[in-house]
Amino acid sequence: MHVTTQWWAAAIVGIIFVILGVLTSTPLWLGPTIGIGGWLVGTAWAVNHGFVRHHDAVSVMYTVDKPRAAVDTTLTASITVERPETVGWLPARVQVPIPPGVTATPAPVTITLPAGTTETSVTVTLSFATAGRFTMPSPRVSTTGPFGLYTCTTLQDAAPTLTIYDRPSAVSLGTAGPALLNTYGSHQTDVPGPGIKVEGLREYVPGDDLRRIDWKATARLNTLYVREAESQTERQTVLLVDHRARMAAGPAGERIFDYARTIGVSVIQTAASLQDPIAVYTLGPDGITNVVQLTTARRTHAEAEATLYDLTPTGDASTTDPRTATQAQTRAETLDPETAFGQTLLTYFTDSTQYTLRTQADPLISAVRRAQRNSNVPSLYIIITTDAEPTRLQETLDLATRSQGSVLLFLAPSCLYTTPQAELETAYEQYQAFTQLTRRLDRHPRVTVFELTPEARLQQLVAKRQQATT
Amino acid sequence: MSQPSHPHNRDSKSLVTIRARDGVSLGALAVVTGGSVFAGGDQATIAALGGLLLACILPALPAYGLGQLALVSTGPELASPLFIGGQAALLVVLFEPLRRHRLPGGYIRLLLALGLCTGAVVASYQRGLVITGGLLCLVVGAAVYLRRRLTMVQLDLVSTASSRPAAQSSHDSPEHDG
Repeated sequence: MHVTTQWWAAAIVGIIFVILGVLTSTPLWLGPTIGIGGWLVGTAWAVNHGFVRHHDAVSVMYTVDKPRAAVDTTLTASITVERPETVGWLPARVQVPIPPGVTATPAPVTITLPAGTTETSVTVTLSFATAGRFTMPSPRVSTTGPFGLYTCTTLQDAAPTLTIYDRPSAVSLGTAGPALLNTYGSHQTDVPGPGIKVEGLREYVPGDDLRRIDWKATARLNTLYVREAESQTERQTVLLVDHRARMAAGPAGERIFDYARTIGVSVIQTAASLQDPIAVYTLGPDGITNVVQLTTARRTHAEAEATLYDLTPTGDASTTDPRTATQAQTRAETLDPETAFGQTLLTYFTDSTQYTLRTQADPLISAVRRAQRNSNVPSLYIIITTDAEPTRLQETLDLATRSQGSVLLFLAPSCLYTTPQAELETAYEQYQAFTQLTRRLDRHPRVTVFELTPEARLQQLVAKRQQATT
Repeated sequence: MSQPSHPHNRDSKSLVTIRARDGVSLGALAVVTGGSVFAGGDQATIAALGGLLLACILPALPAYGLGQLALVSTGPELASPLFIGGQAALLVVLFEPLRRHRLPGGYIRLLLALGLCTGAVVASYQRGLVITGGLLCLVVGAAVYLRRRLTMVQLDLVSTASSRPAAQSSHDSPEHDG
């Protein structure tokens, strides 16, 4: 609450009357000062009581059509101010500050409510120049007393939080997309059990729930029969996002991690829209860096999404033993990759880390183990990583597919991200090895592998290869 | 969007308005004018008439001040019916905005505030005009300041040592993310 220039003008007039009275020794001049002083005090009392009631009663709804958008796209914000008639006698003005990096049209965003107006709204187009999470500043509600003597400005806690992300280039996912979409939503299992949809009848066996006995069939067939229903489960999704240094490969804005984040966020959003429970583990060089626990709460999905947006690739801590690496490399060279025996063993020998130490220390494996401990039902593991350590990857998949678990693996070929464009042709052999790896991993019935490849780079690689062969 | 059904013509932003006074205020000014003409000399009458004519087109507070000038310039006695009646009539002019605006509890609060100021003058009248005038100014300033602080506390605009305010006044700089 603040006094206006009108208040000061009135106060000065009152003081002038006092001075006049003192100078002329006429107490009558104090009369006007009593009136003016009483007016200032009385209106302060009444108007500020109104300010408090107005602050409690006014409602500012500040909504944006979408909570997230890509850079250079626009969002539409709607700001509606409502107040009851009991406080409508106060003229009010609502200012909506726009943070740096955000452009509002029209600007500045100001809503005026004259005395007697109880509701008004404005629509603003917001565009964002940079990516990030924006907590929009709270709207300021300024009210002025009806006599122009006092003003008051308060903040309304109605600020939305927006997530603006960089739009990565087109990415090729290798395996077709519909398989991914079919993974979410209502799921059915092949295992009969309690449920809603009756599948058939079968004879009672000891241990069956007595409540499932079909008494009509039992009476008709003269033996105990139980209803068999199609079992319905809520599949639990566990998202594992690698953000070790290897994920930083690639040009700015098109790093493996940028694509990984886009896919991770899409997975979370899809799970949120279908109310599927999801847990998120992010993996750094020394282990698990973030865990978002498994729930279907909308808050958890938002938290998981925020976690991915806050994530950056880290540096890698090495646990490699050079002597073992050399030995493994020597043995790998003796294996024939064309044979099934050689292919199986190559997975283990081409990687150069000691197995026991790797099993205990690898963050992917640790994360899957932890997720398995936290869940009693088969989970769907969605893993986003690179082909840097195929042996550990194989081990992770083996672990995840135990206990009826299934895996969607988004695997990025490091060679396509790290090789300079001019030398892309040299990456062809490495890319072939990558495709062989993905095919091998994909052979498992509960593993689906998607190649996380920048579409433009892939096309360039194919074009350069064609040029070289012709 | 709902709009007011009766816009207030007298709430014009301009200082001078032809229809500045309502009927009750015009009647009160007529009473003051009559009293001034009756009690004052020629010069005082002319000054009073000019001032009161001006008071008809000015906002309530300046009109009240001009009315006081017109009334006191006629030199009435403190306890005379002219002065007491004139003061009452000018209070009607001063209260005019309350008749236009629906200010809950406005009359009661204004009368109590006038009582406070009158009480301050009466209590210190024997100590001389300087002390009385100073005390009056002090009482008004302190009362408005206290009311301001109370409002800020009620609006949660005052930061304490242990907590940040939920909202800040317009002169502060609220911090925001993003």
